[in-house]
Amino acid sequence: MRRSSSASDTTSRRAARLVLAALLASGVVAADGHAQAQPRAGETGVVSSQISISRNEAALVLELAGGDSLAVQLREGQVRLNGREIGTYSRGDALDRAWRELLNRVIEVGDDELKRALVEWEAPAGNEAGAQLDRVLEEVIGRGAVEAAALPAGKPGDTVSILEARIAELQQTIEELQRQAEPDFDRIHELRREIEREVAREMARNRRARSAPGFLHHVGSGFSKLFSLVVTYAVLVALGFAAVFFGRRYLEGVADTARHATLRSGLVGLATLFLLVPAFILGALALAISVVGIPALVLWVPLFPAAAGAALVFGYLGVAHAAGESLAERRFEGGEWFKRANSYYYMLTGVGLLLALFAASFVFEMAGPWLGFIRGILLFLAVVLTVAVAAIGLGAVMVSRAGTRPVTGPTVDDSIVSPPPVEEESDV
Amino acid sequence: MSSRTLALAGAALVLVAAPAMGTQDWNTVTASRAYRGEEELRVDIQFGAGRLFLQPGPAGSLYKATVRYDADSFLPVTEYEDGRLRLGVESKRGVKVRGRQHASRLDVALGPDAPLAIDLEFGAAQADIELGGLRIRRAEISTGASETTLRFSQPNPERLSVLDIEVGAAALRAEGLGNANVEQLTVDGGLGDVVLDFSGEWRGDMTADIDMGIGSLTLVVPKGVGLHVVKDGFLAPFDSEGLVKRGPGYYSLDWDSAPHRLTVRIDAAFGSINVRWIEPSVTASRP
Repeated sequence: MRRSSSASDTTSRRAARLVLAALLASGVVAADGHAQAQPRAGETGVVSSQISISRNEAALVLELAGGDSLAVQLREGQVRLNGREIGTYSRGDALDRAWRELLNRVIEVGDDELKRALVEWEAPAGNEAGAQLDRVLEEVIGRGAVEAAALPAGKPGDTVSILEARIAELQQTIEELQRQAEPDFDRIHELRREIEREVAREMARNRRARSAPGFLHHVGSGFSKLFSLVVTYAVLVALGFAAVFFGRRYLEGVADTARHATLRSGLVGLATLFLLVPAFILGALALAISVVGIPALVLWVPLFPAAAGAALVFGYLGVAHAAGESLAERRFEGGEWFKRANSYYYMLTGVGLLLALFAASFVFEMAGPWLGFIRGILLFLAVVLTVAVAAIGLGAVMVSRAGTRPVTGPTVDDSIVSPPPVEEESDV
Repeated sequence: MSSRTLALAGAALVLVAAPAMGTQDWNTVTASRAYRGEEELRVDIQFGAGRLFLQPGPAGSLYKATVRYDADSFLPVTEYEDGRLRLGVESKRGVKVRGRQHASRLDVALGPDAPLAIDLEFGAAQADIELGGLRIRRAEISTGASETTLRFSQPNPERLSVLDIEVGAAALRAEGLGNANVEQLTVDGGLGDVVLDFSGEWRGDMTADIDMGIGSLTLVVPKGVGLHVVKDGFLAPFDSEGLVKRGPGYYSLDWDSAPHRLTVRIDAAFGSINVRWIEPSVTASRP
């Protein structure tokens, strides 16, 4: 399996590096490189050990006192001693079983028991590689000298040639790894070319876009936005009519509050806007913590945002109503005012008034880029106005308890002025 | 909480979120090293999900670590260089790990000879950490969604300058903190129950800064240790049993005459804060 072999590769490469370091150092430099922890004179113990057991590998790496190392690896059918293949094995054969049994035993024990177990290990009879391992373990662990054991049949002069062969083998491994890395560079180059092509296409599109639009383009854009605004206006007016029809008293309560306590409503609304999200989270947490509140959490999660949205829309419509009413009061006097004095009319004119800045902005957009700054200013003012209306409306809903307790203007003494009762028209 | 801890916790949540199919290639790697006069051992353990056991090793050893992991998804980390030990498991690049059955196991035994600086981070792990008798100078423990038991069952021969514990969504029980010989304890808790048991052999004063999110905090304090609690919080009721209010803080009756003093500064949001008094030689029993 590729992944598991990758893990085994890591272990084997580490083992190879350790062995190479030990061989190159010839026992002079400690393999861990720890300056504070120099080998003690005359020590022959195991300084460090690493045992790896998996489906494809059973390996042992020992670092011995004096800087020597021993690496025994049974992996993918090969028996390796300090990186050199000394024989073969099959998965589940006598050597594989005996070696795995040894490693499984010593994985749990301390250093002294580890040494004893390694020395006492007996290879299966008739297996040449096993016999060599057995001999090496006894000699190395017993004497703490790895080179002689790793090269039991060689002459002293063979050391250099074997070392050179091992270095060549490791260099080959490095080259293979570099070759494996090359496709990544190819992929990077390919990605770079792809990005360059995409950027070129995008730039061409932008050039075309810059050169194409003319007067008609701006007019078309402005008209499409105006059409969207008209649709928005129609939806808001429809909602407003529904609000007037089903709850005029409450809508008027909100409208009165927005008119007569505008600053208070605005501040309350602004604070409410900021507190909506924290209140939602804290409420949910409080319900979640309390055991009895958990069923209510099911209602809280969908209903809180819905209620907040409804309050925002209702407040916006209330302010629109107030704006329409205020406009009517300024435009018409006497009997004409009475004719126009109905909530549907207020809603029509009020919503139009609140969206007028958007409409003006879109009209200026039709004129093209020459009046772009005016369009920008109008659009900015429209957004600010909308946010302010939303805040005032939401605040008015909060202050008037959804219109049930409206804040009205100063009361007029009936003895001074006694206007005739006016019955508002209930149709447009 | 550090971004690394959050990442570990996130990865750990993914690990426990969904079951996975298929078989694993379970590997075991053991690495050990003898103590050879190291002046200090810096231990850096990063462990995503699974079971983590840390305990004192035999004299003469520097460390011994055994990692059992799914080789299809993870790579073991057992590196030692220049007095620094790195342990743990790393997920393989490009491998999506799902399912609790991938959870690894890490057993670590640290030798009692070398002074230690421990940095331990784990995600969705069940951790049993016994540091009694070890020579610990600094320790940082960061947990994600874990169940952690930290014990100092034997006195720490060294003065532990800083013990920094970050707890995500976890249950943490720290026992024998008196044995830890801590100068400065910091606990940053997110969501969960935290029990800090200050029993043990006190040899110096201790200051504890505790920042709790949502959950309960229980302080188990042996009688005879002077306790001063300064609490700042929101919706976090404080059970001040055995304490008197003096100015902004709560003091134990023997604060002025106590041989050793524990100052606890608590900043808590939601939850409860409780103080339990125990006899000096008794370690709090598990609830």
